[in-house]
Amino acid sequence: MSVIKTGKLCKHYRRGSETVYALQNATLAIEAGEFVAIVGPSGSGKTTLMNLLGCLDTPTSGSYRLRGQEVTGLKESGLVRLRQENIGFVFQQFFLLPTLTVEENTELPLLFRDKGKRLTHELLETVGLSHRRKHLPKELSGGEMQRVAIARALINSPAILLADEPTGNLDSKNSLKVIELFRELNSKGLTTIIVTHNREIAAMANRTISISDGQIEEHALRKTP
Amino acid sequence: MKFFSVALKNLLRRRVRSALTLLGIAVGIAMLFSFMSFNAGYQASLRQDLNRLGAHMLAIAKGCPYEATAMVMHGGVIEDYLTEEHIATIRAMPNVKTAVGMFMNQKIVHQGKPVIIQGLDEAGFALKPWWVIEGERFVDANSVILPAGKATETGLTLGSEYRISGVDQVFTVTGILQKTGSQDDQFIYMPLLTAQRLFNAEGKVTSVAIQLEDLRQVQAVVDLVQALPDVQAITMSQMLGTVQTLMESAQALITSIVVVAVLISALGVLNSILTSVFERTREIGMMKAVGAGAVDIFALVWIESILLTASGGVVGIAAAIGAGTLIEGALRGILPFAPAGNLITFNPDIAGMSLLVSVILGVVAGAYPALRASQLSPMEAIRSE
Ligand SMILES: Nc1ncnc2c1ncn2[C@@H]1O[C@H](COP(=O)(O)OP(=O)(O)OP(=O)(O)O)[C@@H](O)[C@H]1O
Ligand SMILES: [Mg+2]
Repeated sequence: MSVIKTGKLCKHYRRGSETVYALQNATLAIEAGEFVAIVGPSGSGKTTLMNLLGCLDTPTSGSYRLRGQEVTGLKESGLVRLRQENIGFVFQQFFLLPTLTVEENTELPLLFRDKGKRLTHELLETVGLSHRRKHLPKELSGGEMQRVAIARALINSPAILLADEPTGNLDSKNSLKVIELFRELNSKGLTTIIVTHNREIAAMANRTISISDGQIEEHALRKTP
Repeated sequence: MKFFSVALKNLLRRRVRSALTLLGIAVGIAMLFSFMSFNAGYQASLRQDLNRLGAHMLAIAKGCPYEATAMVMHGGVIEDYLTEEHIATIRAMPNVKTAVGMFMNQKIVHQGKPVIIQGLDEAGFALKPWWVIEGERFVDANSVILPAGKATETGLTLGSEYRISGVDQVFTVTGILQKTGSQDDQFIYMPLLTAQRLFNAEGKVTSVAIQLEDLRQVQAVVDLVQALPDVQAITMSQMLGTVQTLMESAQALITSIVVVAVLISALGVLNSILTSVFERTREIGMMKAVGAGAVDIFALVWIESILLTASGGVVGIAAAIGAGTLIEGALRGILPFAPAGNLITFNPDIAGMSLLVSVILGVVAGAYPALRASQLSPMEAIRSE
């Protein structure tokens, strides 16, 4: 069964009197355990698609099933629950809280949904930052901050990891480290979707979805890991 | 990790702004606490002052009731006298236990300060059974009793000479009155006859202090006393009423100042929290993306606001208690009438109420910023620059 299945998903924005067709008739399916790269020129609608897939936004029209559950039509509280239970988000700008330590930043999502089980230690081990547990974000490099953000995204054991240009603010060495981490996580079964401008990174995915002008151009470019 | 510690850390992130906002709240709550304490202490002290008069009612020559009250409570000059006959008549009235002539007038002493002299006879002492006098009462016509405070102030001790400007007579300090905590600490005392002679008012008194057998019969005695020509009666409750009337307008003024101060400090909180919400738009968007619901964001911001005002309240109350004497001095300067006892003391009820007000300020001032924050759309918030 597909974890993600959309049908003719559209997102239109109004900007003054004109309508921006940010995403048009996006139909796609992503299977459990896939590693998908979304590529396309700036302004083509990649972030719009990610926000819809991550239940941060509601589509103008179309349907979206997340692990079999219809998302469109859900109220804010329903979307919050779906995010908590299924989605881990990683952003280009890390968005760590500067007043919290590495450990506290990692556990931030538990503030809103505490299942009692704390994976903090294992996760920091996985991202290679156990020794920086008590450090503040300002004491970390960009690559380290992004790895903390990844640990934070995983604290609720999500089914899907969404990363919107996670290496956009990193140099090539740190980018590589982060991507290696994504591959490792994916190899353990985590469905991973990243938006990237970097061809090399896109090439590491099982599949690439290209978008231009709000339209999905190709999504069958599948290769075996 | 709890909401509380995240909120606290966030306040500490903007130390200067938080400190200034907290200071505003502290000032407002300190004013509120001081004023409420003052009002409570004021009522109690006033009653105590009146009880310390040792009489249930007073008879004085007809005049302005405000002046009469001031005279009775603080000492003052009334030129119209009652006579020994008045005392005798009143003493003979039904339900009157004692009627004691009191004499008060003002003179300049040798150090140049005006003092109020009170003349007392044995009956006068009988009205003040709680007085503790070191030394003797009066040994002769030249005796004076000084309150302990005045003795320390002037450096006089038992046996010292006491002089009054423009008067040849030389007095001797025969007794020191230990602190009573009432208006009695303000006067100097000499034998009734000596005082009357000093002012050429032999056989005359400024007031007659009356004690009753049965307090429920006050009105009957008042009527009888008022029936005497040119005499008015003042009861304790009338004095209380007069003072309270004097106080009301001053209290209204101070109340409005306190309310304005508290409201301004609440606006400070609103502004500070709202600004910090705007500054954190993207962070709030991130929190929503990683699983925060509207209620969570609302609570985070709200707790911040309440934490800020509650700590401001604690600081304000502590400061008000610490600076109690200072504040009391200021209030005494503003108010038309203040009793002798301590006015501002720590009262847990009033402290609790002030703290509650500070929490309510946080609840009210924080609600709007919290609502704004909770309604941010996550992806709009993350996009915003
Ligand atoms: N809230 C919005 N209001 C109006 N227009 C919007 C809004 N969000 C996105 N758009 C528009 O929708 C289009 C797609 O934007 P989107 O952010 O999805 O692009 P993108 O592919 O992520 O670009 P980039 O690579 O620069 O991040 C753009 O033209 C953008 O200006
Ligand atoms: Mg984008």
